[in-house]
Amino acid sequence: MSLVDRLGSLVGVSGPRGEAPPKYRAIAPGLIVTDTEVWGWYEVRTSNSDLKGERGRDQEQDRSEHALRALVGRECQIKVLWGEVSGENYLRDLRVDDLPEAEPRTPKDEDEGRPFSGPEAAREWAAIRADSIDDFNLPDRRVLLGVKLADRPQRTGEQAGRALGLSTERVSDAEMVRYSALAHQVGGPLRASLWRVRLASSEVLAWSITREMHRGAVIPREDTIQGAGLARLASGRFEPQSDHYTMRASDGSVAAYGAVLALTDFPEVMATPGQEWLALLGDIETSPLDAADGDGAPMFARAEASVRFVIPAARAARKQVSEARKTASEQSRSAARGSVGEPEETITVAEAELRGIEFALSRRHTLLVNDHPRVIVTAASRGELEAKVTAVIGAYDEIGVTAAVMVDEQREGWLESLPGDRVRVPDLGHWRDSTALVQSWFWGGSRVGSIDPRLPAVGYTTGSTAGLVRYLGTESVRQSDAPVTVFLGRTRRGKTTAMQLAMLDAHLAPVNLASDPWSILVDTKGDADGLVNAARHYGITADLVRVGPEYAGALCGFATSDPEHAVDNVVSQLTLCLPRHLAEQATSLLQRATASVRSANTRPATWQVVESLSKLAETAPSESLTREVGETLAAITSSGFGRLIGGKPTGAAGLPLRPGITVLQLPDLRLPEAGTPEDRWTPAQRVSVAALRGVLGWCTMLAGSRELRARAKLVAFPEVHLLTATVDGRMYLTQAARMGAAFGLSMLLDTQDVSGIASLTGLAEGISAVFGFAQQTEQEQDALAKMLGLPVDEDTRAVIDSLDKQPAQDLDASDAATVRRGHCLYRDQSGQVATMQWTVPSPELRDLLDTSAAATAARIEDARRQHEDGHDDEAEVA
Amino acid sequence: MSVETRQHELFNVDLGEGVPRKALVAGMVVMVAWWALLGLVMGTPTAETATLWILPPALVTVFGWRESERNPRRRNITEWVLAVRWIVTGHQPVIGLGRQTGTAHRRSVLVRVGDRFGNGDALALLMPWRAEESMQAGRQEQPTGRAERLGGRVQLVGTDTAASMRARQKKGKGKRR
Repeated sequence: MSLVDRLGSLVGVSGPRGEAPPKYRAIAPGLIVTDTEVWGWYEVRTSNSDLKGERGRDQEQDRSEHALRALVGRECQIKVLWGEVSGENYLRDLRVDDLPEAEPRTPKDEDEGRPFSGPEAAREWAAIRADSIDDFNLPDRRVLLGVKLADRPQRTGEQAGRALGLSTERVSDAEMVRYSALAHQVGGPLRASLWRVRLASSEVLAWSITREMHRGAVIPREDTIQGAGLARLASGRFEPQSDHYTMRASDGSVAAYGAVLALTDFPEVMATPGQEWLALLGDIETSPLDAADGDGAPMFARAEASVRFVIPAARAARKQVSEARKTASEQSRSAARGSVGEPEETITVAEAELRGIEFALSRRHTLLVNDHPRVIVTAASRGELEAKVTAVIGAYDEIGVTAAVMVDEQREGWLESLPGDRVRVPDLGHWRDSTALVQSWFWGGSRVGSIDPRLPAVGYTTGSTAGLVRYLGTESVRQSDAPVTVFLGRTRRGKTTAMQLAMLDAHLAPVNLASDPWSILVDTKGDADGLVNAARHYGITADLVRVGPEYAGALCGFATSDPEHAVDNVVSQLTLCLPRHLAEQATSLLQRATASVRSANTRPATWQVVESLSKLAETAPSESLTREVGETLAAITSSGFGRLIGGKPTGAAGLPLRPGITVLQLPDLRLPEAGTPEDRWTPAQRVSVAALRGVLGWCTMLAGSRELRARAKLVAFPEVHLLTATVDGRMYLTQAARMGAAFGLSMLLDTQDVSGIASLTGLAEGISAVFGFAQQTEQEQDALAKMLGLPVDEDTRAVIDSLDKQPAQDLDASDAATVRRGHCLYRDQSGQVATMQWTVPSPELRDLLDTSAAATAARIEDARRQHEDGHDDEAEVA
Repeated sequence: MSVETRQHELFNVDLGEGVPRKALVAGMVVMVAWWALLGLVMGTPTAETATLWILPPALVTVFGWRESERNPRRRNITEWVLAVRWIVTGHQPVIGLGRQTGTAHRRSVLVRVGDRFGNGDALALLMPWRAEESMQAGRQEQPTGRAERLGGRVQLVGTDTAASMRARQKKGKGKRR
């Protein structure tokens, strides 16, 4: 220690403040090599912890504390950075470039409105998604964990080389290989831990350095970055002011303002949830009052963090504690000798506490951490910077942590935050229990959806961290997993649009192109023709089929279920058609008739049952049950939907079995309102529900046909709550789902009745994904919570209740009243749950899909006008 | 994790609650430095100048050892030292992460003092003859330094001419040799 250092430490200015900045020599996957040190860098995976209950969170915290043990004895740094979810990366992940080249479209094709070819359509679809991702401007949180692997001794050979002017500053390949092995070795236990770390790519590491320079240097796409490429990344001009710093662009103008804050004081005891001191960085917003310039609108502070820490090995830690304790004891002895008699309270308390820690350390109950947390705020202007700094200080104040701008030490603070640097301002650090570090929850966030990057992104998570949500309806079947996706929630919350988007995705996802999918949307309201337009717009073959008399007999129970359950299904379908007072008594009669038809015919059908019953009725005495049932059934099946169930097939029409989207419209279907008890259904409604059942079976059986064997198949079915309203309806649904699964059919079911679906154990097993939209009654909320695997409590209910409310920051007078659509809870295949927002990639598509009455009217009006215009043109030509 | 050590008695004199040891040592250092300085300037102390000899180091020690209001984890003296450090070296830019060192101070000491303790304009009031400079410092956006004139005459040279020029140069070299 030199005299200057001694004097410095006397006035509290110790530490290597003035040391030269790190000199980067090489960047490789997971490695940053500086002149003097080698650091291994890992990317920490965000865990999905937003909606975990108290127990789940405690478990995660324990596991993290355990993971810290792998870092004992090493210098480490956690960096929390904000990037941007970019459309470009999305396209790269989808591997759109690998799609086969399509034949170029000629102007003639365009004139004739011929659709794009498959790959071209997929590319177009991916491109509009990518654009919308760019528009959303989602922050992408990245958590990097750096671990110092080794010191790099200055070799004499190198020094000699430098003296002779032969040095190239190149890190030799042998050295890199050794470091790389070390990085893998140190990362091993961390990879298996809760954090699921993986080596940070060179690209990410280069980005983490060059972003601090604010010069927008191009990041080389190489595995190992050295020499000139590296120098370019690190070029920038940093100018420290006393309470902030400025970064200058290459033309000398200010590129950014920034400030480094230190977290100087923490409360003695921290509680989670509530005091996660790193997880909160994503939520900090400036207050409109602070905004000195601009329009005063609140914005996210997007503060970043750098925490350098060391967990000393048990012996070193004990030594440290024991020395401090000895000093305290000496103090109390010295005070005892003096006139005060007894030492200050703080000394006595400290002595006792240190004794406790020493004991815990010797028993290995706890780990001691020495950490130096810093928060870095950057902004485009001084006013913005001040507003953001105020917001950060305020947010930390709320959880009892003191954040203070490092006055006169901006240079030190900024350098400290760079990877490969060191602690320069040691006196603001903390010595504490490792729990305090774990309570920062730096890995926590919200994440849901498939991790397969080739799947389309249907939306983004809206929890504490944002990320793309990848979902593909046909994916779980491809992986031989449960085939059903359910959309739960009240009407007009965006369920139908979500379902339609999922169908378009099934056809346009690059992974699905080869299997040329076939899908059907059953449309009971007659408003889904938007899907046909949208599908055609993107080059998918699409048919609109209105189910009329030509489909007589198509919904027959024999034709729409497997032979094993056929009799039961025919009976219950017919029973459903009958009026309530007949239904209960007629069961055995129907059973007998159906059984005999089945045994007598090779190709049994419901119309035969009806015919045999009406024959019986002719001979039966009047007023008898047989007569009444026979005549009623004959009447019901002679027209309308009854004819589709029990009419004689005309053999005229079938559903298209070519690949593409089919919208199956059932106009005039009179479905009862959700929640109407079964005994209140009118005769027309009963027949409609029976027909609806038939439709589900029909689609399922179609999916099993030979023509579709090799294709991906998808059925989207609405109003399932009408099936789950009755006991045998529920059984039927379960059966259909099982049958579909056997054929490799993926199902999207839409229902308003959560408890109904939840009570179906058989079906619940077949569900791979759940999208839960807002619910109002407590009973439904609890059922949804159960479906999603969330703890059934007040917190979950509040989350579900608020799903359709506009987020607070976007709220202004005009928005306050509007319903938030497409915002839901999603439980994915692996059981993760998070809130997410479905996104319609372009306004054009939104118009095409919009199912509201006004939009439909507008569309019709448009079509009419176009038609008229066409006529006008013709007239002019004439 | 450090315990502030206090001295409870010194040379058999009881100090009651005790004095922080570091303050004691630092006080002595300051005292010695001050005396050395005064000794050089004024020679030996007299009864009239005794206050001047004793008061400044005593004040520095006493107020310097008070807890800083801005950052309770630090003493005032630490902040003072850091402020001086910023004015002397801490304001220097980091260029290309130290690949290049700043060649000259962009702002004079007085402007830096003004920057540190207020804004440049406040300094302009005190030192009107520095107004221009301090204004510049206040306006951070403005790149300082002498303006360079860029540009010059452009000459377009064809390939043939270039080749002949090159040949001439080579010949010239040959002659010299």
